Amino acid sequence: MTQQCKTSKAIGGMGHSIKRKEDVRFVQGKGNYVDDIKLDGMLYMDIVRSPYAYAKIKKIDAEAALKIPGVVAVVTGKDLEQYNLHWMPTLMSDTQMVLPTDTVMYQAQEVAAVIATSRYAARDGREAVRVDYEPMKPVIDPFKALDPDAPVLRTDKPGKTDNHIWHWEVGDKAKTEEVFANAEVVVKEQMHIPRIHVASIETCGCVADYDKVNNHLTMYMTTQAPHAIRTVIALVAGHVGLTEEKVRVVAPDIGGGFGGKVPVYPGYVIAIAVSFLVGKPVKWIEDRSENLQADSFARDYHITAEMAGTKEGKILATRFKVLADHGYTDASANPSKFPTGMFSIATGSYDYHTAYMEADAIYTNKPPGGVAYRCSFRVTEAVHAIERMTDRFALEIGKDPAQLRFENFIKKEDFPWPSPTGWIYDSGDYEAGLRKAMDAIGYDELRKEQAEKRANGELMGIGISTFTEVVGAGPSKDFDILGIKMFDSAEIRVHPTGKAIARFGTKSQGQGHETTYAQIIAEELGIPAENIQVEEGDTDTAPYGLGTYASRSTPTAGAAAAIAARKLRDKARKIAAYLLEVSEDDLEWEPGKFFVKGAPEKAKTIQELVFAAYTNHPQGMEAGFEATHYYDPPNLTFPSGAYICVVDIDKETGGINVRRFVAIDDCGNIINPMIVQGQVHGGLTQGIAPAMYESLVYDEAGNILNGTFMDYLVPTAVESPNWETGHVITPSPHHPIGAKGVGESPTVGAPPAIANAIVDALSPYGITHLDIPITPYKVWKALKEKGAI
Amino acid sequence: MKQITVTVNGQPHTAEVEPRLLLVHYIRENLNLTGTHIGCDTSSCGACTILLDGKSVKSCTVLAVQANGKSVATVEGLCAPGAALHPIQEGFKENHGLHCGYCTPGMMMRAIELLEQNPNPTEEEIRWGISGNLCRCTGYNNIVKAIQYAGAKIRGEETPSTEPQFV
Amino acid sequence: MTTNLTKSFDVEQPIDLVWATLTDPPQIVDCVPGASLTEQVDADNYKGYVGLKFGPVKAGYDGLVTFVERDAVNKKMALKGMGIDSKGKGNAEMLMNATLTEVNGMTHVEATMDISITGMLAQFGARLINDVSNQVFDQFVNNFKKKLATAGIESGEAPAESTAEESKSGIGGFIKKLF
Repeated sequence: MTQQCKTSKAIGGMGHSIKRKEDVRFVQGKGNYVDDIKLDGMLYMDIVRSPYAYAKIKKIDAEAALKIPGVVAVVTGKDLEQYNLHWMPTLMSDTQMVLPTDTVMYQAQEVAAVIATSRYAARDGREAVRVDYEPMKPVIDPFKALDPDAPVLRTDKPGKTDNHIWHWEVGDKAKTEEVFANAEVVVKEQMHIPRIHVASIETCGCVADYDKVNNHLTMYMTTQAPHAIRTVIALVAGHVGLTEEKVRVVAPDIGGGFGGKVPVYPGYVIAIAVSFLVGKPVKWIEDRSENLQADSFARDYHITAEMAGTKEGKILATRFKVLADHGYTDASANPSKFPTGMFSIATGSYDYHTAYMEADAIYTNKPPGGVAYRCSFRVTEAVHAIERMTDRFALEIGKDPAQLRFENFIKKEDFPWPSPTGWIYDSGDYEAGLRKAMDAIGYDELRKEQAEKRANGELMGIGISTFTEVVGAGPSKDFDILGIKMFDSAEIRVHPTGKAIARFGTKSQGQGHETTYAQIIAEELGIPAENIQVEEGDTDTAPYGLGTYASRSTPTAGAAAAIAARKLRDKARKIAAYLLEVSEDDLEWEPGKFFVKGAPEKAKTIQELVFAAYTNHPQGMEAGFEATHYYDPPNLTFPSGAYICVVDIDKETGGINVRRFVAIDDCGNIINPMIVQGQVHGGLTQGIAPAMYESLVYDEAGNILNGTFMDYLVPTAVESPNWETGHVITPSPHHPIGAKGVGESPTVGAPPAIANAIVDALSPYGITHLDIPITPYKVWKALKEKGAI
Repeated sequence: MKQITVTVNGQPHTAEVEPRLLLVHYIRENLNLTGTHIGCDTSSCGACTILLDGKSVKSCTVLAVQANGKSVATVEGLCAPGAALHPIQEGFKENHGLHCGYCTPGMMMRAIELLEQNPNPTEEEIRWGISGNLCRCTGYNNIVKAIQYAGAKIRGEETPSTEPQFV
Repeated sequence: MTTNLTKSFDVEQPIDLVWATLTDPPQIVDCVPGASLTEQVDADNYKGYVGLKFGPVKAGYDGLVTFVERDAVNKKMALKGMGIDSKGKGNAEMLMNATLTEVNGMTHVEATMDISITGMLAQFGARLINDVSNQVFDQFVNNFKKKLATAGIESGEAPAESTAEESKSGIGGFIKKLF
């Protein structure tokens, strides 16, 4: 299954590894990130944060701060309360403090904002603000949050008597219980998918620029979803005059997002409020510690996972029970109707029809979340659960985990495939993917080598993950965020000389949209990609869309680009029929021109046809060459992958070396193989990160113990192995260009492959599961406990 | 306040600065050279890496006054606007060595010194050589390729293929 | 962030002198590195100040010291200290239990300390707290022994800051340095 390019390299349509257009500015230091913006009279904001996880604020004394030269104001929750701006809604219709009026709910929570004429004066002011707290005993352990004697955290909610947020369930509970009760084999593990942080190298920040004369706000900010933000600002601040036409949100170049730049953080709102009050631009740029300690976390799912099957290795049913620690408010970035995101994809790539899943979310005194960390809504948690349990089942019955997968895969001819939890998988060839990965890595030889090493007491492990993702949210019948349907948009405007500008409702944070969207349009219209300028991120110019996250840009806005381009091609066909004096049916298209069937010399290039649209269009036809499309996907897309990881473990130290890692992805048709590969590389490193290194750690008092880059271990080039990648292609049947989205697959698929490899290495000693991140200490401790060393 | 003179990308600049002013803020805010970025507050990420008298340093950990009388090179000095790219810039662009571009200037400045010290580094030497610089997007494979490409170009050898390789 | 320390030491002094010194706030505080008394609230409660350095973090705690137990018969005491950082960056709590026994005319002291810290010190100093607490405790014991050796002579020295860490940069300077 390979993909043929339909266009020439000069046109640069789909399948060409053309170099990225955006890199010209980035390699010359000419990117324009939020902190690069400098406006006349700009003020700087810094934020006083709570040292306690849970405390009453007795007094905020700003006197000393206000005496510092350059400090112009100290803003507290009481100040915002006058404008009813001290609370704001979260994307999940919970509520979050902008600034507290009486209680802080997590360590590093915003307590007051200092406004000054320079960055340094603002920081001096922050140091000088004196806050008196009355510390209270916090709720940190999620398993104790529902204890009868646990303090009720959200006393702001009338009638709230516990720390429970919501309960969710899906699947057939009774049938699942029956299958489990009668199953020959049942395996069970308790696992934690740890709290982690996206840690994009650019932190969050903004410049809020309110113009009092024109009553107009321009908000430059690190956001993955500028249009949605504009609507939220208008909904929250409409009552003070900031109605939607008076608000312009600009997302300039974004230094990595990964989901962490979807939420609205209090800092943005305070900056807007201050700019609105003083009529001057206000810049807020958080530092790394603030970013790690206060911005939305990802994951933090405690999962009880069970799988039932036959002795021969047929999977019959799965059951997952989740305890979700959301911190003090549910500030997840999920579609409204999906409190657990798409966790229900956890039935995996396997052909069985019985499953039940439930989840309960609880409040604790930790920062709010959770966002994605480079994964479609909660798919990483789901994939980790099913892929770990698949290996656990294989271990239990003594079957090779690859063989067990082959025997349980959904067959390629069975698509579209209805899952027990209600999804309709669009396409896939799981067997081909795993076969390719096994051939590439030399699976059978590795198993032989492993057997020899085991005989010598050496630890070597091979781990497989054959995952199915669910991305591209989503169809409007099910998917919305705060009521706004999750379509996305493209607008293409072709100038008379045949060069184009295209604008989108999404926002690249490094995915390469300026290149790949141009390639989609090049594919459909035959205009060279290099002549198509792509713009995103300015709500004044771009069509409305829900933004870039959850691998949704290609499935939604990419589809919109293709369909808008096809509308233009239809128009070009009419013009060609007029110019060539034939009927439209007599015309044939090849990328870049229409020609008369059987007379290829009678042809008009797309550039000629566009020029005619402005200079010589048929009577009755609208002039110009523009089209817009809002694409509402009929279904989600289901990328998949087969990953194999080989590890060697030092028995004495627990040190883990990832010897090889092969990733075979199926993201459907590929727009730019170089960019797809780059996305896979990056996602794999963000997969090894939580598998082996990253986790936000809190002590029992709610102190974060690794809130800086000194302690929070983002993998360097040394920890990151040399990734080997490839693909199989099963085009999405319902997507206009057959693409599925890829940015997050590797982050989703890699952690269980690594965990499975490590557990495989340790399994001779009776070790059946280790929670990620699997550190040398954890390995050493497990071996010690089992008496292996 | 203290007077300093720093030569930045060949151009001498004299200014009165606070003794506590960090070099990275001097570069970004006093000189408006915003290609040098800030990614952390603990000298861990390397986004602010520049060359100080030819040595790669994290400019968030150097005071502007410490650069007095010295020369600083930033990403903006690698090529004149519109001119041919420096081999390291070309290497990153041709090999998809960047996604969001935020770590890229620091990564390139580090790589320049690395290639000066070791003109033909192995993959492992490159990985250790850039281990003070974090990238969250690329997974580093193509950064390694980009530096190998630049090394070949600087040595005057044929540059390796920039086509992606698949299994 | 909590840590527990258990220490025992011998003092070549009679038990009654050791007990009297150990239960006399002005004398005992004098032996705690970096500590000073500022006010006596009542017989059991005292206000004071403790300055400590943990790596790059300097903390200054305004605290309240309370004798929870002073059992002169069994020579058992419990001392509770609660401090709030003078810059509002966190707090620290300490509970010390000590029991004295007489051994051959000398005194054996068994002591346990439960220390709990919250806030910035816990974040930055987590890895250091055990070592620093240990050193502070050792310094305390040395000071205490010295004091008893020269018992009866009033010390006029100002309280010294802990020398457990040589770093001179307080947390304020540390953060400012970064900006």
